Amino acid sequence: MSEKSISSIDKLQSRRAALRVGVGSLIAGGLARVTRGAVLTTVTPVETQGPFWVDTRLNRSDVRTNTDTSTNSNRNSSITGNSDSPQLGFPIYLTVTVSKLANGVSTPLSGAYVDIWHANAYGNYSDEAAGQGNANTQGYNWLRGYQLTSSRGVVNFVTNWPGFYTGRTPHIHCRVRTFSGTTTTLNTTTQFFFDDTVSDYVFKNYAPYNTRTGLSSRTYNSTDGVYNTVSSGSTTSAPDGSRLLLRLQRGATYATASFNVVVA
Amino acid sequence: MFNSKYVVLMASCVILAVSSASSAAVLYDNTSTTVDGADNATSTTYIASAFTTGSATSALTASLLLEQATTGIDTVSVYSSSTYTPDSLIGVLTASSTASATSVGLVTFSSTSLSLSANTTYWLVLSSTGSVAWSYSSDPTLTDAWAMSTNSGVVWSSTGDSYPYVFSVSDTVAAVPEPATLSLLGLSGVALLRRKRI
Repeated sequence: MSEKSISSIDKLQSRRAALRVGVGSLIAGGLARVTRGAVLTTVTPVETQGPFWVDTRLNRSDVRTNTDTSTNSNRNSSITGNSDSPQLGFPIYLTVTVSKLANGVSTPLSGAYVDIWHANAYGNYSDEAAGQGNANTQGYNWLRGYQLTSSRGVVNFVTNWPGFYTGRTPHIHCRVRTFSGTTTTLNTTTQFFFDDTVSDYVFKNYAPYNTRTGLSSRTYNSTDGVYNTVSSGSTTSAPDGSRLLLRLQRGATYATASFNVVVA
Repeated sequence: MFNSKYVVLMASCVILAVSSASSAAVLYDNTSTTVDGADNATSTTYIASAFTTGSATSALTASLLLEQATTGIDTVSVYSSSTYTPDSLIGVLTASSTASATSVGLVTFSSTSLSLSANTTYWLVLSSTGSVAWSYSSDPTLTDAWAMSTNSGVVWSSTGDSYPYVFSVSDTVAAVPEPATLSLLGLSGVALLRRKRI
């Protein structure tokens, strides 16, 4: 069990005594806020969107398929993985909860657009011309999409474990936006990271990751440039990536992951 | 007139009876927090919240803040835990009442035939043959585990640890007699034996 999961369970136990208050007042309409020290008080580190952002405006929870049916003369189905729909890989059920921090208090941010995009099992992003280490994936839009947050600030995605590629540790990009008419009122990006031990397990034991070469020389969190950024204004000297690790559970056939995004 | 041996015997039994009485302990309770919304549980959408036991117990009482959306039978089950999601079914709690269709209220479910280990995380899993709304809180200080499945618990496709569902859970544990009580029991036994020999 990870350190984080133990911490969560400890919190459950430690709150037993603190939260015993009369139910009667709650039901009678009191519903009074109990003032305690805030937990979601730290804004999530902002990380670069990188070179592979495409504003596809694909509203979908399961992002593993290709829905681009346009005629694209640059489409190349002979590149491994391009025409896989759904994309092959180890599934992840990803939950992102978005909160808005104002005056020191976080509340769920409903109606926000949450985009995710990331590399496929072969380390390629979709809808990109060849270059910067990415194969030609033009004419495909797999592993991209957005969801609108619920009143609880929650969105859910079904995607795959991102494959490794040169120079980067496995990660998922995330963008949160809000709009007022045609005006963008919030636009922030970050990246979610994985426990390297679990990534290695997936890469060694599941197809098509385990058909690839280069695993032994892949980039890990410890040497990833983005992971090890310390944002200006950060209240800690810890790498941003250590605050961007997914809360992760790997099963035999899929993983669940979640993350609390707090925006200013 | 009471024989002094009888007095010792009776006193011992009384003390033993008192010390052997079961005791209830609150394992988790966030019912005093703000309620900000609700998610519906159905026959296919299961909603779950985690709690952790103190002592080993067979008796559990849970109160969930519910409102009925569509008439049906609401069920709360206890599941074992994977790291962040329910794992396998352990038992089903019995409802003492039904959720109101017109207002939010606590509905109590209980069982005395579970087998729960000490200091272990379990999950309360809510489902319904109709549709029942389980209130959640947007209190940012509560970072407690919840999970949701949209295929009757086969895959827990949504998990989180913020804005948890509102509930309380308590156990009932049979108290173990203290050494002093055991001594008194011994004395009462001796007294009883001596009385029989007289």
